[in-house]
Amino acid sequence: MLRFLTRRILTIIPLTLVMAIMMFFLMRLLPGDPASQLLGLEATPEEIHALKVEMRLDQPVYVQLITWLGGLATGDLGESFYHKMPISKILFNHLIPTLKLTLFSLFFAVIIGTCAGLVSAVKQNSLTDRILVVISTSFMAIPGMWLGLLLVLFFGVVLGWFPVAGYESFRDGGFGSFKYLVLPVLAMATAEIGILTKMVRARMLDVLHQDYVLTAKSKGLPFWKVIFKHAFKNTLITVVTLSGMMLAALMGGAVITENIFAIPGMGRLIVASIARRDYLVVQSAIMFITFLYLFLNFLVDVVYAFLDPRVSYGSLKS
Amino acid sequence: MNKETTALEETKPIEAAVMRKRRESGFRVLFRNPLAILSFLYLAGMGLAAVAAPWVAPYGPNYMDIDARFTAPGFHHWLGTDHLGRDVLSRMIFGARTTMGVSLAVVMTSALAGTALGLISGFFRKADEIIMRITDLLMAFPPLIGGLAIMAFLGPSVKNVVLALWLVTVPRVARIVRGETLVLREMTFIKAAQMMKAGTGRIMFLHILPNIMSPLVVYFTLLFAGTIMAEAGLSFLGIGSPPEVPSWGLVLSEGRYYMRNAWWLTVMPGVAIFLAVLSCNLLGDGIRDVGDPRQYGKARK
Amino acid sequence: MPLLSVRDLKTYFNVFMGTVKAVDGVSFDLERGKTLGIVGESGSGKTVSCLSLVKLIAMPPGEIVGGQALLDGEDLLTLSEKELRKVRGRKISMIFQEPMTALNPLFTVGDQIAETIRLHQKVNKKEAFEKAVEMLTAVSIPAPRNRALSYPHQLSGGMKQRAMIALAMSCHPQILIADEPSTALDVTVQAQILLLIDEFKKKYGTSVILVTHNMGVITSTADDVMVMYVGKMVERGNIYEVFNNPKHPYTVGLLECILKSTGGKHALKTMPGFIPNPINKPKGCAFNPRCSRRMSICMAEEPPVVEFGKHVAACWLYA
Repeated sequence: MLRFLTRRILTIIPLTLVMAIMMFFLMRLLPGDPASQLLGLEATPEEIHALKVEMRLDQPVYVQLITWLGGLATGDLGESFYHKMPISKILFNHLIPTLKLTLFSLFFAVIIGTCAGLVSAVKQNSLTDRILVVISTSFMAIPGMWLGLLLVLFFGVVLGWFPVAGYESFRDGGFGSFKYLVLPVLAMATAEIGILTKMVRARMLDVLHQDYVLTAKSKGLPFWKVIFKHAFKNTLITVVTLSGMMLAALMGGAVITENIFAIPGMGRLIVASIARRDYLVVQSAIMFITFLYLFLNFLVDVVYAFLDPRVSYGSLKS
Repeated sequence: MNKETTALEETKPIEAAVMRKRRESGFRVLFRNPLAILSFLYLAGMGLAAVAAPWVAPYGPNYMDIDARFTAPGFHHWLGTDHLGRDVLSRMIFGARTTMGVSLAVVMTSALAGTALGLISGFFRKADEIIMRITDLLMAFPPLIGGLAIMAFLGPSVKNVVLALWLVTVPRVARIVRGETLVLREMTFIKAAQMMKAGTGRIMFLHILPNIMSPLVVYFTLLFAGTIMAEAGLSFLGIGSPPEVPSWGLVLSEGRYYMRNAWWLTVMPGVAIFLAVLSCNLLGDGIRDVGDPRQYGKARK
Repeated sequence: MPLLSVRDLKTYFNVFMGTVKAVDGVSFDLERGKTLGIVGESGSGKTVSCLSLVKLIAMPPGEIVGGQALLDGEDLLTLSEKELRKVRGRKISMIFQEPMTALNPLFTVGDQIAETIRLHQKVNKKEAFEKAVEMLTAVSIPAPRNRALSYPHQLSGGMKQRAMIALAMSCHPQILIADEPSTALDVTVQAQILLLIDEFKKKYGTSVILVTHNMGVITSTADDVMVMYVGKMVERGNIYEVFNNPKHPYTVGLLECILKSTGGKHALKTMPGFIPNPINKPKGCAFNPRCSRRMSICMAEEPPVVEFGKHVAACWLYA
């Protein structure tokens, strides 16, 4: 178990390093240079030069690279041109809303999707199953941004049940702050619920045809115990694997959702910073959100290892 | 009936019967599935409309009729007009050009490149090391975030959207092809071909490729759906296709500010994306079912 | 009175292309403490016959259409699901062909055996686990206590099959159904597993139904034998009688396949023809297209079951 986890961590480190280097060079792809981009066409050469110095763009490329990598390691990412604030502080301020949004959506989608998929598989070919298949297929095709807008229109504008947009931290709003999250989470989770229902159903049907399920039945175990103990635990592993993939989709979805609901998270920060040409922030934020993704994925693997003895005892999956 | 079938018949009569039936009616199974046909027809129709947009669309995509701003769907403007008096239907048809065109370009190029890389990876150990490290890197970004990163620094343009999404999809295709190739390589018939000194190229294209084609085609239809969503997402954020090139995501994004008064601006592009993605998924399911013997009523022993 | 008496068992599968009569009127008796071997090619309905006894076939598409299965005079086929659960694992237990997949990969071997014990006996968790260790000792697994804490993937194929036997025998069932218990194993391990089953049979007086396609396995372990062909019983009787004096041409053919293969000029004799499509069986006797002694009536009507004492055969030759 410990060996598996260390190995997993050790793969993240070089990956992050190469990613950081890649992000660095991606920024060099900008037509012209970030300083002149930032200041626009009216800027004088002096102004541009001054900004270049401020952004350390006058130094040789390798010095800039080392500064950037060193900054990532120490947490000193420089200062935002627009906010006039240390970037690390900005990132930290925008982290919580995104994390809340993503994790709540994941949690919600996993619970609903797993239950629906389970019911669908156990009652295969019944009316319930057919309805669930239709619903999950439709859910998968609903664009999250569109659903977000429709939810705002219906529950926010027409019914007035939930706020149309905005965000409140838990410290400020207590449990009332969750009302801001309901619609965004629904918008993000729906497609994932569809996918999960479909996958859990397929996996469960597969598991139900496995020999060990027949063994369990032949022992004289009652139906529900065969389903919930023997079959479901095997299906749960798939759910955990899928959670990793869903995280990727959700973090992407968060960018769009935050923009619809004006939630001050990483996604909104990135898009707004692109518009403001605050490229240092864009670069750092993308780096940070990706690192976050890798970390969450690592946690998913830990859960996986706990569930599947074949992983923790090191015979499967390197 | 050839030798292979009779050998099968000897061991597994039911399966053999199924196999025979399957060869006769692979296409029939697909076309017995009304949803798959409908989806196919819808996508084909959409594709045709996109290709013939200048002739099919009632107005130009950027033609503004300021007097007819916010016209509700009706006789003159089937899907209404937007805040600048542009015809929504025309913008959607031209938008299909962008959205479907981008998706098609992305899927086709990444299918070619990804399949090639995956096959190479599956056969040559050294190349595999390098290719897998690169895919690891590219896949470390959550898909939309990766696209976002590239678009942020390249600027909005249709060409850049294709590039960004291509970089997101290629590693995934390569991974899948590699996985399938590695499984197939262990199969007896590949070993037999190797034993008979068939060249690597011959084995790749004659033995491996045809056998991974059907799962790949299913994957490509799903990828197409995913790309439509991603393109719409990028355009919605204003960093995809530039303002003068209409795409579904852009129309949706522009319309959202007038949602309370002009519902059609929000509803129509959403429905278009929904139907396109749904059709792709259903078509993919249909194709998958053709390859699945359970559809022929397989009985377990 | 035999322990288990099956009469005219019919199990059909309704599939997309039609009805597969997987088991079509099969009758046999299982004596106390004896082994009945069921032989036949793949798809002959051996496995389905056994699974039908405790209703473990998938329903739908499967359906037990008719027949009786009397265990100590009680018809298993009429029992409710709840009553059947008390039969499964306690009175009738099973081991399957693939030990690799028959154990749940996510639970320890000991837990899986203890689960069966707790299901049918009034013991607490700890006692059940101790009993599981005892069972593992009984199937001669080395270091049983450690193995009980292992997961299935940590055991070899032969070990897993031993563990399966321990699981199946943990409640000392009256009947053990062994479905191709040795087929997936190494040749050296095969004999050990069959021997182990035989040992339990003698020790506890368990009756065994041994399903296999391997005539060699039958000769070494069975007391009685039943030969099946596409869902029908073709011949049944004492092992010596059937082997020394086979009546049905199919049995004759099967025996020739092994007998001729040991010494003789030609390495292996095979039977001509193929198993028919189970949805579309030939009219009359299902074996007629491959039969060397076919008569015109064989193609028209189903053969009657002819008795030669306790030895029976379904063939027109003797009618």
